[in-house]
Amino acid sequence: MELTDRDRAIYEWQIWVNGLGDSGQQKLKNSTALITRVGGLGGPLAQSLAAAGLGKLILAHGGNTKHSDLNRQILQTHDQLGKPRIESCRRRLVELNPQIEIETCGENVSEENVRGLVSGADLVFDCAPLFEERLLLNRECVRQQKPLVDAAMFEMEGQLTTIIPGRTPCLACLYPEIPPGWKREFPVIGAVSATMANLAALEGLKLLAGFGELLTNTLLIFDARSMDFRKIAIQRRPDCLVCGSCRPPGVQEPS
Amino acid sequence: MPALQAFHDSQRPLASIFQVKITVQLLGQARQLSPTERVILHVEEGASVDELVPHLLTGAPDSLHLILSERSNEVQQLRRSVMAIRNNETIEPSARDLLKDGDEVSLLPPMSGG
Ligand SMILES: [Zn+2]
Repeated sequence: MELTDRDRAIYEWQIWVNGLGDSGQQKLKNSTALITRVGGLGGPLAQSLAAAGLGKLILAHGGNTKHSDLNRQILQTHDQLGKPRIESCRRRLVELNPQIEIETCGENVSEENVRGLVSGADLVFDCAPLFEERLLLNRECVRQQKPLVDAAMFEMEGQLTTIIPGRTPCLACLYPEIPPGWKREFPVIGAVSATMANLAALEGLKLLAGFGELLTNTLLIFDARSMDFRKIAIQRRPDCLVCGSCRPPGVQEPS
Repeated sequence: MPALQAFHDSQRPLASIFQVKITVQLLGQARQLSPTERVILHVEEGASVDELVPHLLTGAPDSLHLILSERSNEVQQLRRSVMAIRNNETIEPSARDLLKDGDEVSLLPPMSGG
């Protein structure tokens, strides 16, 4: 799909960004992103992608809105309490940008739905709070060779990396097993998760529009207490059970 | 503070030509569970990150033990879900002879969604 005059009017100020331009905006318009869990991370991320004119968003987010969501899940509203979160996500994003397509799934990622959710996307964003879900999504992205932007946070810290299966470490290279002692409820300030969300959104926009440098083979660590950003060089594990046998797209198996 | 710090200082030998000073920084959940965010260790030259773990965890709460360490063949080592970072690069926790005097080692248990 070509850009229309209306598109050019709406996205004019970002088309001015060096490297994005008309062609980058057109790529965004023709792209689909999957966001799994649209809460403190996924919510602001979806908002930034919708505002930037990403053509289609697939959103997976289960459960009903609770009081304790409201400090960070910025797509949820007080009048939505007790109702499915995904409805509020859709409503607020449609208000923000009625021109993009939004597909919703009122469940979190599971063994049953992961294959279908990933197959419809050009790019996947992992924003889930449970490691089971994150590693499941990672495995499926490696299997389908889909890029995965992995954003995470805890208290006043955040981490971010962009995974290109076969070319960069996958999530299981970074942590091959589910960490013990993880509690589903943990300290979160919405501004910290939204910071990581918007950094993740920038990774996705650069990847899809084809400009700038990505956090590939690199883990960004953000410390909101000291306002330090650190870039850590990360490596694939040759014995990774998920991506160990995975080659970069286009590279043949040796004969 | 630093109950841990006091312990480590008391262990510091007077002459340490075969010792290196390593600053260990705890990140994420480990930082929240620890009485102190940075621990200075004086360890034998050539020590691996795994070998820092028993020093690091002496006197630490059980919750920190659970997150940072596991036993392999009766030896306490860094849990494999924790990333070990030397300065600005990840490092294999079992590898010896990589840590140099003055290095900073960060231990990062994975974070998750917000
Ligand atoms: Zn891997």
